[in-house]
Amino acid sequence: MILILGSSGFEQGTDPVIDWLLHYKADFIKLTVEDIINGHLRIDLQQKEAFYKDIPLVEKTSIIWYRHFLNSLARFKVSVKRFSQQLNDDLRAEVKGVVEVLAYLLKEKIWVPGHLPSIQPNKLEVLLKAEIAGLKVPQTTITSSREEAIAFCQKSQYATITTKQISDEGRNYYQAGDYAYYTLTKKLSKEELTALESSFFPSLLQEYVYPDYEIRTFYLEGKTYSTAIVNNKKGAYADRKLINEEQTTHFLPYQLPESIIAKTRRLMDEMEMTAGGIDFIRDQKGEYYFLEVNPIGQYLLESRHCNYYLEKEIATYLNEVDTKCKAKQKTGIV
Amino acid sequence: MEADYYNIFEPENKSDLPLTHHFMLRRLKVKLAEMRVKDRFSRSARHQSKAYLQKNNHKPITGIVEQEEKSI
Repeated sequence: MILILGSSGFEQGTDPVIDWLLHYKADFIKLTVEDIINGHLRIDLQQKEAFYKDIPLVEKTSIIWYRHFLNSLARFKVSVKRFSQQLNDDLRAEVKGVVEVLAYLLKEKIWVPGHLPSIQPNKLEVLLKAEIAGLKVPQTTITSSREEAIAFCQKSQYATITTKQISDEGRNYYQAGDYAYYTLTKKLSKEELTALESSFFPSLLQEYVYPDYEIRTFYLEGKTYSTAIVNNKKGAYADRKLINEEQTTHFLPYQLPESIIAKTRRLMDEMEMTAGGIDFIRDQKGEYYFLEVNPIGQYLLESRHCNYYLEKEIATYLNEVDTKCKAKQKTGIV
Repeated sequence: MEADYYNIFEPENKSDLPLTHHFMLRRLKVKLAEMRVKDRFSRSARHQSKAYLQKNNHKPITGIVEQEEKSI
């Protein structure tokens, strides 16, 4: 059985895969945080089993697809008159505890994109691993000092640096009236840095790589599906999300050089990840820079523009693994 | 290609913020697809979803759609 650890709300990358799983008549269920909160999950440590509506998950599951499962936990809230924050912090921690034990019981199964602890890897750890795998990465530092930031900026190729959040877990929308405020990667010049306070909260800084174009690669079990995001307009941008909707932005099917694909596979193997969205920049000199990997990143935009049908690829992979596991169980060969 | 940035926090809190939060982007909520303000959802028991949205994820490469002739 395929176990989807998903969300009860809309998640754009989940339903298109389920469409194909339904078409394949695949054996799957979706478990959400709400199911746990509503008491649909029972864990029996003596039996080393977790039951979802009486379905024994450890016995039945062959492959797990993790898709924004824990996101809705942040929104979970019980309304009480007193000690609301403390109570809700406690309740969320309890749910996390249940999820951890569930992940432990299912640890021998195949996880896509990876086992639970590796699903939101530390960006800097990934950069170090990418470098070991042979990929070029931008110079990176974390500092809280304006003077150090200016010195780092002056040393960088284009006397420009970028800043972005260290963890994607904390990327929130700040809503005020009709507007939402949010952060993306921001370019910083020496002039902007000079105008800052002498110290600030520890921030991630990277040398700016002037893009010829950006590449988004969807990785699934060693296969890569790349999209070049090319903008005809003059002027450089810091985050491709800023240009996604511009008419001068084009999404083109792209073939990464074999050497970059091999290094990417080495990195994904090192991180024990079977899937993910990987961002590269190809600079003006033709060098490829690895930026980051998002194991549960969105893939539909590139898939749609390049007709990669990635949702079908994911569903086919999940279904094939499940079918093979069932065949093995039938013949007794494990 | 530079966007407009906003600092939504009080000036005295600047040194408590990471640099990303000194430069925040602003958009109307209805224009942010991720906020799903405009979307109308249905339910789908088959998808095990309480907020289901039917989407066409693909487009013809040429942009030309050939319509089949209706049989009489």
